Amino acid sequence: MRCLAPDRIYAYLDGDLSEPERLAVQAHLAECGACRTAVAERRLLAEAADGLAPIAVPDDFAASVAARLPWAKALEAARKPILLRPAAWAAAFVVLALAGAGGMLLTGASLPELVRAASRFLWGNIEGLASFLAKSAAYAAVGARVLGRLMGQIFEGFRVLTSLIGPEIQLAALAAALILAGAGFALWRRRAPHGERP
Amino acid sequence: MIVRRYQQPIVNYVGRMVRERELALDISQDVFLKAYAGLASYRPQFKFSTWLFKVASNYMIDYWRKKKIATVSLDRAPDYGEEERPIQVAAGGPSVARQYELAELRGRLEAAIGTLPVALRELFVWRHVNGLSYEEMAEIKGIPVGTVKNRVFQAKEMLKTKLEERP
Repeated sequence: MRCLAPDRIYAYLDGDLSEPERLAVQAHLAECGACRTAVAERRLLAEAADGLAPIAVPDDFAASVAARLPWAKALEAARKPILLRPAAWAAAFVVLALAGAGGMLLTGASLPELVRAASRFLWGNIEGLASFLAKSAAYAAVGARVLGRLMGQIFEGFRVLTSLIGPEIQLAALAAALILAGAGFALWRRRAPHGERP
Repeated sequence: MIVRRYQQPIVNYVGRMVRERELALDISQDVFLKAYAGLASYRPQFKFSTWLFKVASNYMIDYWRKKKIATVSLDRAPDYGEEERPIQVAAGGPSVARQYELAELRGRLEAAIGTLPVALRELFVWRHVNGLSYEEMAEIKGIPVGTVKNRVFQAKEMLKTKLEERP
């Protein structure tokens, strides 16, 4: 048998030879020192290559990739207050310019007249909103006073009731209430569809 | 997360291709972003790692093109030049085993990998650093398995020649 060509050696090392071919190569290696060296060198090279050290990856690598994903950028932009977004300012400017131009074209009014009319409209709405908020606050205050008195009456009723009945009966009533609440919760859970909250 | 699972193999691959860690980390990030953008093109019947390496390989082709570094076509035999012709086994030639201990050999091997033509370097790294099978490499590059094997053998012969040169 002739000396082994490199591709034959690699096929032998990769286990790609048929059984008769492998036996023939082994027989040749047994009597050819040069081919044994050639095989040993390539085996050593493959062993060295297989054991090359991995390149260190920083701990925050995945986080850095995630931060560069498009949806992460959109999320970051959404978190920014609207007044800090240049796009919002640009959009507002464009809308105002278009509205102004449209208003001038439709009404034939000059720009100062339009500004005056717009400010009258704006302040009128602000005034209406302020009035609405003031009334709402007043109603809320009245509602809170009524609720407070109602709660006071309920607590007073409980105080009178607990002074009239003994501690054993109070305990039994509390236990019964807890049992009823537990049964009610269990019933509510059973009726709810599996995996969903009603 | 996909990045955590595949970051090490991709960085190992890109790092051996560009031979600069910081650059490799930047490119690897880009590779993952490109993969994310192209997830729709992934077909679940194929291994995800194979697809990811394909994305990385395509990215590297664009990278070399921008850097104007020629890549060797896998459709024809590479031109080694006079000094880089694959060696033939010769009796009494210098033995790698005798000259280097394994650790030292790995140090020199790292440097020698950088001298390989890009297309051969890629296949060698996939095979020996990433542990891909010849079939996986053939699928990624869209070439026959036999061609891949031949190219890996050629890469090894070139490395062997390089390592036999005096340090």
